[in-house]
Amino acid sequence: MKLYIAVGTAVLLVMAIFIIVFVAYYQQKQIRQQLILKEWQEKYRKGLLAATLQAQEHERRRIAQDLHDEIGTMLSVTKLSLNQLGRTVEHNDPGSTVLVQKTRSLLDETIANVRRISRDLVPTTLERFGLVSALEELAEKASNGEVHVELSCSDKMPTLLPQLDLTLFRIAQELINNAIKHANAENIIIDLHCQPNGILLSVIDDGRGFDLDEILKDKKRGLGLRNIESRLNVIDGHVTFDVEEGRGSRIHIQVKNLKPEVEVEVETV
Amino acid sequence: MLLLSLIISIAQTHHAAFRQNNLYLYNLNSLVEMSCIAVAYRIELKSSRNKAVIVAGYILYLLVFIYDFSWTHIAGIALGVQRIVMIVYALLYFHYILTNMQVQHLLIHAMFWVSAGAIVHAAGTLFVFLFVKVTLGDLSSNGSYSLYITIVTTFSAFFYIVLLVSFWLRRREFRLVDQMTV
Ligand SMILES: Nc1ncnc2c1ncn2[C@@H]1O[C@H](COP(=O)(O)OP(=O)(O)OP(=O)(O)O)[C@@H](O)[C@H]1O
Ligand SMILES: [Mg+2]
Repeated sequence: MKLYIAVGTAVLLVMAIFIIVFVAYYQQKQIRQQLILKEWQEKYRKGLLAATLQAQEHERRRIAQDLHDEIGTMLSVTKLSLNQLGRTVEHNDPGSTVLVQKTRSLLDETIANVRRISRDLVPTTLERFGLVSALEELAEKASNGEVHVELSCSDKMPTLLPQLDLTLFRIAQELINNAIKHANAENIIIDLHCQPNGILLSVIDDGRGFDLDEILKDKKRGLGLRNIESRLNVIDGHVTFDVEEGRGSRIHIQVKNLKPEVEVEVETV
Repeated sequence: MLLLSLIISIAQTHHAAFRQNNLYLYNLNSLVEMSCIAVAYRIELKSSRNKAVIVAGYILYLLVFIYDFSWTHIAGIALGVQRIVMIVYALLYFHYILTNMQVQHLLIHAMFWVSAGAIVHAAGTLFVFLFVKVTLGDLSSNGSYSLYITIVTTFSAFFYIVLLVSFWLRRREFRLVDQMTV
């Protein structure tokens, strides 16, 4: 009897320990798998986002090319034939010369516009000369009689990956657009800093500011700020809004990891 | 949880002090232990089916306990049933852990260790109490009483040590949760 009890107890104990070990092992394995799955999903989501952004750039490039190559060419040809028409008209009907002159100047303006639009669609300067030059150009273009946009870039900037360049440029573009469109600012400063562990891009305006919470609650709000966030998501960046109603806004973009996980190739012209 | 293991420890010291003379303390200790464990599991296990099982197990135990209780003997059947119910509880909790993937770090999760300690404790002492007539019934039978009582105390001590450790782990968990919410 005593033997049976001893054996029974031993068997039970072994079973108990086996169950404990099994539970511990199996649970850890499951958790690990879950983590892997989560990581994978996160990566997939980022990849999707990156692909969307890339498709957008791609589409812009195509539109710019079509505009330049087809409409631009057609307009040039039209101008040529208008010049011929002008010469024949001068001989036969000097009264219409004014009209021809007017048409020609309209045509010139259209050609200039098409060129400008196709150039704006694709940041050529960015690809050729880098972020600093592109931002300089942006500041110059945005400055006019009412607003003054200034770029302050204190350090020598390292060469960044094209994807990062493009992201930062697009964000700066949107922020400056916002400052001009909504803030009624007089001075806008783009501040580009290279820190030991990343890059800090700030856009500071002296306009009327806004209430971030209210804007975020607004369901019908624009896409600008949301796009900034999704762009930053792809490159693991952060945006900080130092904003308040009644005073100028300061918006800081920080990118720590200069080598993003999701590589996206950006075509160059 | 915090209080529970403290109460159990106090009960245990109490019971250790009077062990030789008062066998009924085993029975009372079992009741306290079982009540605490039932409450703890009822709090931890979220699904209503599990809660029903826990309550049913506890009621079963209570019935057997009332039927079997005596002031002069160890209530072997009641204690045996307690062990079985404890094993069921621990298995329920293991099942819960495996199906509900809430726990990130199992090895520092308090309830897991409570369950592990409970299942080992229960498995180790189940037969000793179920066949109490043979093992602990006869005080004079050349030393086997002290052998079995040593086994039982060892397993109990082990269980209480595990309880203490999980009590400490639990406090850490609370602190972590606090930090996260701050
Ligand atoms: N610098 C700023 N100063 C004042 N208000 C701002 C500024 N930036 C943004 N806002 C406010 O935040 C709102 C949301 O901006 P967001 O860029 O998301 O959308 P939008 O500029 O209105 O539209 P979209 O950018 O899609 O053309 C704006 O409508 C504006 O009221
Ligand atoms: Mg905008």
